[in-house]
Amino acid sequence: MHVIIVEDEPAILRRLERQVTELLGDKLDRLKCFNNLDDAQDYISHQTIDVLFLDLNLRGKNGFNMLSTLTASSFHTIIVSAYADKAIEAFEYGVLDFIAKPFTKARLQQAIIRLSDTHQRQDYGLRYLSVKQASITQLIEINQIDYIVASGHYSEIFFNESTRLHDKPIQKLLPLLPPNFEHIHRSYIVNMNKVTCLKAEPGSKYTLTLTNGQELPISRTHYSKIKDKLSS
Amino acid sequence: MKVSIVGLGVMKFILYFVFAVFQLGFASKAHAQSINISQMQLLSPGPNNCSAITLDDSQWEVTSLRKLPRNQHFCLRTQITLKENSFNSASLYLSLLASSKIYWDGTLIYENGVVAQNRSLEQVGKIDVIVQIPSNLTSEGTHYIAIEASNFHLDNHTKSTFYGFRIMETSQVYDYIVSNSTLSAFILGCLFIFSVLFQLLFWLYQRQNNYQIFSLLCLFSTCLLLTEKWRVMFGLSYDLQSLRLQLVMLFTFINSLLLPTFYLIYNQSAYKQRWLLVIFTVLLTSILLSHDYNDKSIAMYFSSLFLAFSINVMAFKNGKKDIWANTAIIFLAILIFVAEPTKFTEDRFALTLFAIIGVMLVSLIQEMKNNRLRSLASIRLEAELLKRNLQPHFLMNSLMLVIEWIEEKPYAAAEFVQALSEELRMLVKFSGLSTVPLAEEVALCRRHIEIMSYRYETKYTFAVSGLEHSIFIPPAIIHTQIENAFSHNEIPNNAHFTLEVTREKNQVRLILVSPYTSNEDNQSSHNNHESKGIGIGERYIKSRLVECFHNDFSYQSYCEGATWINIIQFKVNA
Repeated sequence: MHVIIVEDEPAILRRLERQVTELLGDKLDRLKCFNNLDDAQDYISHQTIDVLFLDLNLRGKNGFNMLSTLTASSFHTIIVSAYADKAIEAFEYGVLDFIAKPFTKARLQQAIIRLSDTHQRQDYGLRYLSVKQASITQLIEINQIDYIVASGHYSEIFFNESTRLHDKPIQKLLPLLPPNFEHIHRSYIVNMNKVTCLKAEPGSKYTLTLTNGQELPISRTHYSKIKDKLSS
Repeated sequence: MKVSIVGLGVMKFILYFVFAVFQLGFASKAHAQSINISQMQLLSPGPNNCSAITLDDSQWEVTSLRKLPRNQHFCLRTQITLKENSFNSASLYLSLLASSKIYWDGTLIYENGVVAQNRSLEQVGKIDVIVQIPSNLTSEGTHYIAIEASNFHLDNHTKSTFYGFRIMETSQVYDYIVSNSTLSAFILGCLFIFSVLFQLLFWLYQRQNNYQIFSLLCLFSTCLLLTEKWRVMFGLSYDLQSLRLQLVMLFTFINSLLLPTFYLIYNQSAYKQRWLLVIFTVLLTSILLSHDYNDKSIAMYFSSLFLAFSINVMAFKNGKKDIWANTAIIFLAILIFVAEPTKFTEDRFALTLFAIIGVMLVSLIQEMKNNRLRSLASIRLEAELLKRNLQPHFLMNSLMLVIEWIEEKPYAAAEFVQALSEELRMLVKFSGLSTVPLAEEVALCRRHIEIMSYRYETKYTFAVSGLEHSIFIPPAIIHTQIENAFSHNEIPNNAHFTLEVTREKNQVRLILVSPYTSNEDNQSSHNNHESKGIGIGERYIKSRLVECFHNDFSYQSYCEGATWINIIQFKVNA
């Protein structure tokens, strides 16, 4: 795992560095520390990373602009900040976790577990998926999304008759999404609120129909789970 | 918005006032139908019996009633002719400083006191006499009126001894007395209640000099009007007239002193002592320059109106805009005075004073409301100061550092906690104050910079020049500027802050220079004021400055190269 930490207070930076190293153990491939976000962004633009631990001043609009750019990237972002009152908003913009300062090692460990456990869902719902298009970051409201399809290392998001490409693969998106988003196929995640009916066709072929008339395939492994969910 | 509400109240008041003055005008017109007598035949000392119709008075001199003898026994006679149905019911009104016996066609119709040939036998009568003339005596034709009078109890201070003699319709007399007394009683009651109310406010609610002066003004106006109206309302022995006029003069003097003084305090005018000296001198001069009691009182009251007007106009020019209503009502009072100076002493004096006091009352209540809002605002500022410093970024980040150092270097953790508690203690102390000595503010800033040095493991420095111990500023305003510099900037290691204090006469200037690194984040926030952090900090500074210096300060905040400059300028009282 390739981790970077951005923190401007040297003692806190050392603490994060030490504890992340201890907690990740063998899983850690590389760890890089920065005392400002500009240097970190330079680094990110040349390197592929897996997770960013970030101390970001989220006061004002600027902090959230910055955040949506980061969450549109392929890596996970974990905020480590004293602004605990901004946590819910940060989750809405798609951070994997928000660690309030002062934090304990146990809390840090919880966040690291969340990194590898794709089945664990967020306590707070994501409200926007931010996607980069050229140099602009666009926010897509979660309720508008019909479904998401894996597309190589990326995900293709279908919403309101249009599509956008997200830098995160669907395995990384799923932990961020609210519980009404379900895997129905190895490469499909669907917004269950948009489903109108479930059809079983001859030859154990199953399809879901969405409100916009679109039909999506369901894999056999996911069928019973989806059926339970729809009938409940 | 506020101004218009006060304005409405004041407008109503002025309208009522104008209405009341008009009413008085009509009331005085009604007197025109009566028969006024200003000359009579006089014999002094008078004969034993001057009432007989047959008495030969052809040799008596005809004299104006304004020139009657003093300390004498005398007799006055005249004839009047009544037309048919001149009166439904006639009454005789006599206002004279003397004891008297009044005869109508030789019949005694009224005895006021006991008339005598010398002082020891005379019993003092009332000044004002109203007698209803028996209807059988008011037939068409000529009638004889005789007055036997003595005025041995007159003293030398009273100039005029005669105020009026007329025959009028009885109902008119009572209308006049009732309307006059009712209005007087109403005004007296109001003034007395205001006086008591504002004494209570002063002692139980807030020790404001304003309230005390206002209460005294109402109290002495009550005294003044009561002495003034006592004659009409309760009757007065003629020997007390001199004392009454002296009291009127004394109360007028006190009122004339209090009226401009109230505005000096209310407007927080500069040079109060000099003004008081001027007021005193002007009032004394007006006493010295006029001759009788009445003139002295009028001169004092007019001077007082003029002084109050000047004080208010100056306050208005100096930016106290809400004084306009007070200025206007005083101007109106001056106009009414100038229009008919002689009538002023009657009722207009009481009415103008009452109107002025009414407008003062509106202003005082408005001021109370503003004070309350201000004290609420100051509680809010207090809370804001505490909240800003007990909330996330500062305290939580500091605690995070403590946690780290407890493991890494416990000794430093203890030192840091010490510095942190020191700063918090100062902030808690500051939060309850509206101003703090500049030196203490500087100490707080040093603490903060020390804590930030710990946190960023570097050495920030803070140089202060020209520090003066006599300067007081609102709490934590420089501290807030430094805090803003840290939370919206990347401050380089070993950065330097300076505070330059300069003072020219009573003008103080504080210049804080902080290091500044321009970056995308703070640039847009400074330009667009988007960042809530800076906004809250700046708002706090401005609110505190307004609370402390009203509008008498300037605050600038701008970037110059690699520095951020904050300049606060204000005046200190010499």
